[in-house]
Amino acid sequence: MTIEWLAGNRLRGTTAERPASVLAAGSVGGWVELGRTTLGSTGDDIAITGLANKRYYMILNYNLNTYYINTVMRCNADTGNNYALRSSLDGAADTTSQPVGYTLNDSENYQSPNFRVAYASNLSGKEKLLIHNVVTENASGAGTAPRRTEGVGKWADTSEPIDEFNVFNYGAGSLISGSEIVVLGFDPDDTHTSNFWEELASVELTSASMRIDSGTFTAKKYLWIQIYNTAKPSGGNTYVYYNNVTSGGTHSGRSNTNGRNPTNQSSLSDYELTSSNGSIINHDVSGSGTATGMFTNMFVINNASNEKLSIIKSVSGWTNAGAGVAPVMFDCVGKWSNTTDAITSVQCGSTSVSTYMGAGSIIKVWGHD
Amino acid sequence: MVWTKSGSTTLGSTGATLTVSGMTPSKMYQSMICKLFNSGSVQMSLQFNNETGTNYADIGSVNGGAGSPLTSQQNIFLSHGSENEFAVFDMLNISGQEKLIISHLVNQNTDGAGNAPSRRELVGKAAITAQITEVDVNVSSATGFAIGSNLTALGSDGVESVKVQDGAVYYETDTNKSYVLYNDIWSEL
Repeated sequence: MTIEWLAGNRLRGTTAERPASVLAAGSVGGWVELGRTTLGSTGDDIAITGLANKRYYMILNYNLNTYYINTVMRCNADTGNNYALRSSLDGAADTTSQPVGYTLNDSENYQSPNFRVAYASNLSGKEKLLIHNVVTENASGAGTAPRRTEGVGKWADTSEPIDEFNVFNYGAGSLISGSEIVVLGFDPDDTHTSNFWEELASVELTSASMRIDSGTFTAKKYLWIQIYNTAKPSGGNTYVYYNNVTSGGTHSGRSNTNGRNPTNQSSLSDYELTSSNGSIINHDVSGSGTATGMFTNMFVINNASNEKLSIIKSVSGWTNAGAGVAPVMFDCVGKWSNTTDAITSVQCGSTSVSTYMGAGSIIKVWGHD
Repeated sequence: MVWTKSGSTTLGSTGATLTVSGMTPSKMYQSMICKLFNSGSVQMSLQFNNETGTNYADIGSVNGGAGSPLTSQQNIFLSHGSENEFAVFDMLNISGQEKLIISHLVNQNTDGAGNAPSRRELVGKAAITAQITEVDVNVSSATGFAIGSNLTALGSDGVESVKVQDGAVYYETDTNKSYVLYNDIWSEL
């Protein structure tokens, strides 16, 4: 007998046939979920404890608020002055000031939710090093741009590995029910065959098109979107759209190019874009080379009843003429002000240039609840 | 497709290179570098497929400063520091296209919480058309990497033998039991 595949995600077979793995023999999976904590009531501390000791952690943290919140992180409930950080808010100069006993500051007090993606290196006898990016909704609606924080931190302890993370609010308000931290792990010695990130869509254009479309997928709370345009036009600012909504001005965003404001390339600040039809993923400076490849890596928090917040990093080659010209670095955050629908499809490109996305362009969407 | 481990190398002795080779090509890689510093003033860089020609370019920002471009290089310049460092980089790896990377790095600075870490954001490209199957992280000192330094690469194009989604229910005909799948673990209902 072989496994029978039935409707409604059901299978039937013998004990021996029950699938033990979704991977080909010998393969090891990617990031796996080690644990999560979701607040069921109002509070100031989200703790996730008992983490397995992994060399690397990936942290997804979504904070919902009442009144002002300012979120920071702590390791192993260490309340001592054993942390240091460096962060930038909205492209401004870095600061190294910090509240005692915490690291990875989201930089400011806001009356709005925020979404953080962080990575940590975790070796018992060494200081623990962290990298994070945060998008904060700011005032609701597409008329106000989200805020952008990027930074690094360390926990100077060298006596033990991390087995606990805390997200703490020290603003005047509180975190509310639904705020969450999810910790993924990967260790070089892992043998697991599972994955946190499930493939929701993978599309490649066979010919040039105005936009690339992921097609419809099952909504997931956390999205990881990767896009490659084989032929981004010179001077082209690229946008992502959700659920095929390409009008109405329901997006806003913030962009930075090569560490500077893209409009003048001198100011230590971001450019704010409001009431746009899509979320900006690159903001070219003037005279921006020739048609070239552009790669985008972005994360989205996708709750139907909240504005969708995204953290976006892109690189374009400036020109395809080789290594004689440096690529261009884009740091963006975005939000989609829709608070009734979850994202179930992603489009990327423009609304006016018929061949904006070159043949061979791809979009991959990974997700998990 | 699924994410799988493309390769991982942890040094058992001091050295100048972390190599992951023989990777089955994926269109996307995500890699983590844990540099444990041993000795010397160490510049850390990336090379792919043992390509040592001047086929690399990058632009990096240190501590939020203006991007500093480097062109026609023999590698992608990741950092320069005599401390432990941690980097995560995402890479586009399509045959026939230039390879593009987005990297974030944290340098721990001098030991202790009184010394703020530094950071370096970087994007890079390699004018290499073949798909990348080897990643080398090099440091300029022959013994720059301490024991325990690690390079890990995850690839996006792993192959599933069977695709069973979370929430699937399995009816076991020989035992008359039912199971539900979550995170690759079957639990009896």
